[in-house]
Amino acid sequence: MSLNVLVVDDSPVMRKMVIRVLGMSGLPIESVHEACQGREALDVLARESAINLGLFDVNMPILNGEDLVIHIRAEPKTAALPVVMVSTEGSVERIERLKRLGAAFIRKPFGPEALLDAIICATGG
Amino acid sequence: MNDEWRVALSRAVRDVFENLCFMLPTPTSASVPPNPDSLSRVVLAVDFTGAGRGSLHLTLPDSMIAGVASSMLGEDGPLELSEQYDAVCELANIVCGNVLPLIAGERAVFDLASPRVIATMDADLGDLFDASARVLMDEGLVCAAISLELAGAQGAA
Repeated sequence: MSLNVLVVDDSPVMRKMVIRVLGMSGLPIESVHEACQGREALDVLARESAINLGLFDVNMPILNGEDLVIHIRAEPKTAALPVVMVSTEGSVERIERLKRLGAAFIRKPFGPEALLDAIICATGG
Repeated sequence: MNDEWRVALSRAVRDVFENLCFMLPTPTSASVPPNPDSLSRVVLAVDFTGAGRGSLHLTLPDSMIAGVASSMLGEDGPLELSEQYDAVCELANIVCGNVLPLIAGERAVFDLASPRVIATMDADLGDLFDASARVLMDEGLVCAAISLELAGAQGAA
């Protein structure tokens, strides 16, 4: 199955880096969409029904990554979307909270193999 | 100076530069580190709150910035200056996010502010910080320093 990915990060440089590593992962990527914060990500998800994977930063203005996942899980149309949270700050507490929301976690910096593992974890293989 | 924190800083800098920029530390016996005071440098700061309050500063020579940014983004051609600075700001952010758990433990939760450029030449981090580390790469000398006041009695991980 090809992936239609939504990459959400308030840093354009980080979005570019995540997309670069995603491209190196060997996964079949059909399309990549970008958003700079959670509110914009919800708009993209409402517009692009083919999106089947989310890679979200945690710390973002307006609507952060954790709240974005809460919104996504509350919306029947997107409730089952596989999500990988990408962050520099990965305390055990935060990772446990994200797991309870059904999101995988990966700490920056990461390479293609680690991203692939996190995506497999999020998608259930 | 806190020696455990210095080791943590050094490890975080090495790991982040290796994984993000594919830059490795020069073997310590290979050459004499350049005098950082003789170089024009950029100083990046990341403030943080949460389990502790403080700031991490990352200093690197101006001459490294273009190479670091290109390596991070996998770009062969020249990048806009703003993109170069965005990239090294993210680098500082990631170093900070990696060193804090090493110092305060994996359960400590921190909120990192957006990284910022605070100086572009002749900044002396000196003794203003609780710990500092220097990592010599082929591309130049990278310095990291941290001031941190932990909220509780949390030790190193």
